[in-house]
Amino acid sequence: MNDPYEVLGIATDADEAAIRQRYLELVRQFPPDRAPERFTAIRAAFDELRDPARRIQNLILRPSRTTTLDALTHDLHARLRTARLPLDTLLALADRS
Amino acid sequence: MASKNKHQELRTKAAAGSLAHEVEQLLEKGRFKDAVKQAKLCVKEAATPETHHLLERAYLLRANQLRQDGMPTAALEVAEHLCHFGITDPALLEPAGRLLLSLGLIREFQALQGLTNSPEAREQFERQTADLVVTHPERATQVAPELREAGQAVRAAIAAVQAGDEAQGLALVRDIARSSPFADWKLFVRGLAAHGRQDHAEAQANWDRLNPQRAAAQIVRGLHALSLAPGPHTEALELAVFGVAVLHPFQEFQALVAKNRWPEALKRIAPLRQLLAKVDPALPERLTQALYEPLINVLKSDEYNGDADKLAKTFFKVTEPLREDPHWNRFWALFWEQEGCDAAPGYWRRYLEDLKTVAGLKPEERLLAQALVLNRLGKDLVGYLEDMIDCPCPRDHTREREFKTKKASAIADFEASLKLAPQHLPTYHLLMSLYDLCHQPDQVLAVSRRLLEHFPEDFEALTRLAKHHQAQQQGDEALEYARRARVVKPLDPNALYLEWAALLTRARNLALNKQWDEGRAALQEAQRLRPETASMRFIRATEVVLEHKAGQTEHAQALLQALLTTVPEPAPVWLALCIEAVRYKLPRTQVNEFKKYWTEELNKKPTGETAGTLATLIGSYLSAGVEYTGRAAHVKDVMAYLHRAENVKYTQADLTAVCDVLELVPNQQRFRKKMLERAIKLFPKEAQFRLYMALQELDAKRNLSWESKNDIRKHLKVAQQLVEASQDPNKIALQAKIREAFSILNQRNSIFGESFLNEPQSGFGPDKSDFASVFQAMQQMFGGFDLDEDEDWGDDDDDDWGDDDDDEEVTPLPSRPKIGRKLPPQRKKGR
Repeated sequence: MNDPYEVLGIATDADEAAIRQRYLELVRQFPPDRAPERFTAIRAAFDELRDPARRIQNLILRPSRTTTLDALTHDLHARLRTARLPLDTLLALADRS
Repeated sequence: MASKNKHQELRTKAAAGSLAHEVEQLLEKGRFKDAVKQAKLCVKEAATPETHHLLERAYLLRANQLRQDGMPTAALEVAEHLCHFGITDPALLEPAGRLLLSLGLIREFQALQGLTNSPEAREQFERQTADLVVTHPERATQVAPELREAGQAVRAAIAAVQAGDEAQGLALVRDIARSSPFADWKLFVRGLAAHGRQDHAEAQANWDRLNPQRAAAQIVRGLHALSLAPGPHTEALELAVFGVAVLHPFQEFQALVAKNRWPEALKRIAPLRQLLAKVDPALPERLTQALYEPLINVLKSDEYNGDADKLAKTFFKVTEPLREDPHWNRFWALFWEQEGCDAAPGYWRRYLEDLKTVAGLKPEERLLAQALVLNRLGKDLVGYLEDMIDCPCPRDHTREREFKTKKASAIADFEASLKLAPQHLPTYHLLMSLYDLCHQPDQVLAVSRRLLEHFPEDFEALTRLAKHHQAQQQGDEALEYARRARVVKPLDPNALYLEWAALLTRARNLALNKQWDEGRAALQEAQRLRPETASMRFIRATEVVLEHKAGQTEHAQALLQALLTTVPEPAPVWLALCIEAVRYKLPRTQVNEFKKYWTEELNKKPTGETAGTLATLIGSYLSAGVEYTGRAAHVKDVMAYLHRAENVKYTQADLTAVCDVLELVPNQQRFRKKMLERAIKLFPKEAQFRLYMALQELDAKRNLSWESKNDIRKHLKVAQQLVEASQDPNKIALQAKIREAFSILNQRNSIFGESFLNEPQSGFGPDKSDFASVFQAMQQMFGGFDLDEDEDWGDDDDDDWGDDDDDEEVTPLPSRPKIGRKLPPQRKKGR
């Protein structure tokens, strides 16, 4: 999940003020000392959205900056780690030790 | 007979003791199956409480072993044997209870509960029952209804949290008391809610309080294991979460890419894309994005030379083009660009066409994307132009024409880019750099003005325009830009100096227009603003000149007398009066009068203080590029004075001023070297003189001998040591310049094909391959002012002041910053 709009949970036509407001909300919710991983993602998304030139520059001229295989692996692990497992699957973990 | 029986009993006991020892050894080794067999024999030999306990323990460990090895039926059988045999060891009640529950032997578990009267053991059983009703309610049909209800509530809470309804989940466990056997589950649910919102600290804070023996803690351990490498457990979880197991095939694919085994990797792309699409439909596109650069890198490597096209085409077949590069034109542009091939611009221009229609871009983003591509094309052309300028080969007609064509094309690209995205600041800077490269200062200023329309606070453009107008003696215009620059950076010393200088120019212009009061006001403002580096006596001298110009001779004389009483040596005042009298266009008689006093003062015995003040004064005109009639004569006078003052006593500041001005005057390098040698001798702890000396040597000789390089390196090393030992911020500021000087030295070494010197490894110096930073370093340190060397300022040849050292041309030195993209050697498309 590296689409900055998706990370911040805002519409693609959100204006600068809305982006900033949402960013501040999320930072309050996920401060760097408590949720460093999530905070990094939020910060990167905000940086990209508040500087559209940089976003387009990365998208158009620096394809390697948009993603890497390592980032994809990390993303898959993160999805798995943060997934809301079905109740039975979660409780079955108790039988695995 | 009795004695015989007693003897036999003793023998049996001894045999049982030996067997028990053997059982203990087997248990220690983890050979539980054998331990059970031997323990049975032990009980058979001597049925004592000890042997009974031993067999119980062996049964328990064996059952647990079988369960953990994934053999629940066999484990169940052994556990039933244990229950049938009976559990009498109080230490085994808790683990046995856990085993029975995990195997679903509820009746046996309840029977076990009835065996104990210990409150601790009862609590243990209650907790185990609580875990059972939460994790396996189907096995807990015979458990008390109130416990089952509580278990159901915990399950509902977990389900609610997992469904995203954190509030409901927490509400369901809120009333669980701390003493309740379900208290662990309350902590678990709270941690799970925090985990769901990725508040790992809070999750951990709750989960750290869990009893490690209980089911909730085991689940947490299982969740943590998900962040580790994929294994059989993660695969099951992937299936539960994603519906497919993707991590293992993805990591295999990644390993193939890392090993450059691309033909095999490409075969796996299609199935991998399908798996990724099931996780998230956006992931296949991200896979293509992630492979973009590695593939370009491998295509240009020798490994796939000849097969590059084939490999790329296979890649195009097994994947879909990215939304932002629908026809792979950007892919080829980047590829050929890295190859240094002349095909790259063609692909970029085709990509420009693609950008007009690509999906997923907002209208303003589309314009910006096109502008960025044009900017890149222009930047590449500037790179070619720089290479042409740097090329030592003669510029014939063909090359001249090529230069003009490429320049025109670069300008057209930048202008088109600015038309599409007038808010893209770097393009203005590139265009200005291009005009600068082509020696078109008027165009540089024109672009600066355009830039300011969009970026009214661009400090660089403001100061550039202020300097330009100042050089043109346009005080009002210079003042406007300088004031705007000061608003942007109020503490910047250059902006302050510019505003001050502009006020002086304005005062002079007003006086020349006979607007005396306005002129006086401008001078007063300049006086208030005076930078630390500017001399007060200079402003007072200007006031004297202004009053003369205004016809207020008496007032001027009074001001002059007052001024002369405040200075220990009047020579600098007379020089300032001479200069400003010319610039204020005072009558010749007045100019000559000032000149007379100036000449008289010059003939007096020289002092270090006067030498330093004169050097500062004349240096300020030279460094600002101020031209006026008689400047050459004044410079010559001052140089003569400085030569006469070669051996007088100096303060560090005066000697610094002298060395600074000698740097600005052509043909004074030998004398400057002498003064620097003296400065180093007089002030051995001052790093700046060492740095000056190193830079002078670097600048003076194009072809450095081994000894010269050694000397330079020695000076720089001493300077660095002095700076590192100092707490003075001015000295610490020299550190960057010292590093840059080392870099220049290395650059010179590399230019002449020698190995790098052993300079301290700071890691902060400019890139050795980047001429830009080298030039900037030299520019900053040497000033970079265009002085007319033909002007007769009294060079070293006169009066036997010596001549410059040999400066034969060998190789072009770094002369200006590189602004274009660093281009690889160009070649034709040939693969």
